[in-house]
Amino acid sequence: MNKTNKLFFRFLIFLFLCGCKTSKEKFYAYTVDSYTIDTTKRLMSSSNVISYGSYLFEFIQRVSINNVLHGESGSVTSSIDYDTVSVYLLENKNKLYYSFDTFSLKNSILKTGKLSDKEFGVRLNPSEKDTDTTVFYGPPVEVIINKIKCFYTEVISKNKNMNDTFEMKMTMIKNANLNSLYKINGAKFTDENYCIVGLNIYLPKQRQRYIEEVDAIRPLTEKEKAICESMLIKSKAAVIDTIRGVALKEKKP
Amino acid sequence: MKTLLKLFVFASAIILIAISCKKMLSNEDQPASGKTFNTAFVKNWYYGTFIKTAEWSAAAEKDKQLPDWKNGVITTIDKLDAVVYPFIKGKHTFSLPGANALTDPQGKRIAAASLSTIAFIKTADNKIAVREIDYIPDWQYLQRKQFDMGDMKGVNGKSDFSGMVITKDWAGKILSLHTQVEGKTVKYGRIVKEKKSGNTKNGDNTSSLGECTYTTFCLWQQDCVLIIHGDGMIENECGAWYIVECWEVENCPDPPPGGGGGGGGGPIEPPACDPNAVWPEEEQFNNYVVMQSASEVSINANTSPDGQDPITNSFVWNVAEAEYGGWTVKANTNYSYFHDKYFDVNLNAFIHTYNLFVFATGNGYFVGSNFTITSTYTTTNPTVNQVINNNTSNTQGKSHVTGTLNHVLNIQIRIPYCDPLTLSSVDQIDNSMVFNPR
Repeated sequence: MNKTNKLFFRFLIFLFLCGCKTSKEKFYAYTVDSYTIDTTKRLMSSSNVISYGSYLFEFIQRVSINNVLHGESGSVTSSIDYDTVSVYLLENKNKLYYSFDTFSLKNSILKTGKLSDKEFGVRLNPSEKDTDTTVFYGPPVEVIINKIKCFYTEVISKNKNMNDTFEMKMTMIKNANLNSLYKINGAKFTDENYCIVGLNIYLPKQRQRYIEEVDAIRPLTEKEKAICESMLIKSKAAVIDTIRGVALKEKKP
Repeated sequence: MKTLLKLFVFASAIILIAISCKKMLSNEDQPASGKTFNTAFVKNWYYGTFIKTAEWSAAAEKDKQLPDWKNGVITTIDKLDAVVYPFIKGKHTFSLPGANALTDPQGKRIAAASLSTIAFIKTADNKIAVREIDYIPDWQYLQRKQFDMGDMKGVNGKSDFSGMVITKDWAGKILSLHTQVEGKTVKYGRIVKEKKSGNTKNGDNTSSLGECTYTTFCLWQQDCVLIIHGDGMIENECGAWYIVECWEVENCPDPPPGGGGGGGGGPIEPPACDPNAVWPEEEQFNNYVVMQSASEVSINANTSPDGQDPITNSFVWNVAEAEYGGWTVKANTNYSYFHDKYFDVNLNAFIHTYNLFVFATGNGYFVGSNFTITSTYTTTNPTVNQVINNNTSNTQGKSHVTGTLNHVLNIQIRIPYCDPLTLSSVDQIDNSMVFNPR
């Protein structure tokens, strides 16, 4: 094989590897359902998100219950609607959110602000330290949730009293490209190939449990990717340096 | 040798690129996980998506017709997955061969025995088509079945139905009329403006021209009152059958060209261009959450006799349902109205009017709690109360209760490398209640 052919063949292998690499660049849509469990399992709320590289889109819903009362018969007919009224683009680097009016190519930014100040959806805000909070992760254990291969890790405290009060586990998916409401707020497992997607807390004395279950995970369609990309471009053009308390990482010396 | 080597390199290139592309495509085009097409799915889709569409609103009787959810049958129609239910309607309408073809008692018995079904069909492009399919037996078939259409299967287990199969869309527009004999379609019907001249036989309003026959069909109707009880039981109290209108149908052995419209073809029309159709992603955005099915409840309220004394009452309704963590947000509505009745000589009928002079809903209040989660309801805007069309027969009261629900986990989350975190989630509430005095 002469030198030109060797080079050409190497170029082809490079193309092949690029193809493999591109296929791994995945964007996902999924749901996280929150439940409270005592004697029964009750849905508390649902978060619908899109994991888009280092960004996360969170869909905001409005619950509407429409009732019609008929005075003559005294009967009431009810229907429940869940309308998605806006979508948040969340970014980790500057800890900001951008609120969009709709999930389509024709979108507008309604509001921007600090991640901890967003009005709706899930928030993970720092709270006051009241005890020694040194905790560490247990080894990941495989578990299937809603037909999705997940792992859980137990969060163990050096403070024995805390372990007796409640048990806490984090649910994870082994995918370094996946983003989540926990990851966007800085919560990471020791091995960054795992992404924390949910929480599982059990209070033995009260026999109550709070769990977050991941569900309906799927890759994005090309059109969804185009919409996400257009929102991303719009967010980068937005004026954010007037948001109080925001120090843009790009502008740091 | 060099040529062979070049050929080998070129062939390898093609194979490598093909494998690479295939790998990319197979990953990118992985279909979303499908859901079982059953009553739960259809019911969620009906209340979550369909009732918000223009197609649902287009039906004049939309509020008075619904599938009998408890008696669904999973089947296939034209090789497509379908779930079929008995169709409960406020107006029963069946098209029967004209007035001269049947005696009045025969017409009434056929109309009473005819079956009306509603089919939800999963189309090839993963959409759902809604079709009313009516089975109108012919007199001989009905006699053979001893006037019981409960079993339309022959000895071989296949359909032995003989009569007309009429397919309509949700709004009641006829899409196809097929004549079946022993379960097989033998003629395709088409509504025509004028009856063509031909040989009339038996004086039964049926004439023939070539291989086609022409029949006068009449629309028999029975008006019913749909009663939905609090426990989900549905009653349908119906009046007598009567003829509304008649029209001509051309029945030919071959399907008419073009498929849909008033012609032949199966229950599914070919896909049509719809400039108003939204992208699936937008539709998914608007209906992102699979909805819970609507629940019907009933309360005790006074009836409204006409007279000089006002009818006064109040009731409590749920602003947010208990499924969300074992609690509810409730609101209280007070109302008072006069019900007047007078006889209109010109209309030759009694006219009812309602004067809703008190209609007020409070801002809503939270009931119940949970140890793990503290949920708080906050009214963001004062509740809006409106009285619409007062002093008419269509008087309505409408209240909107708007607010937010803030769920806070009562336990600090302690994650390695992080400060303790508080988990909270905020949902919006905008709920309405419509009060109809009539």
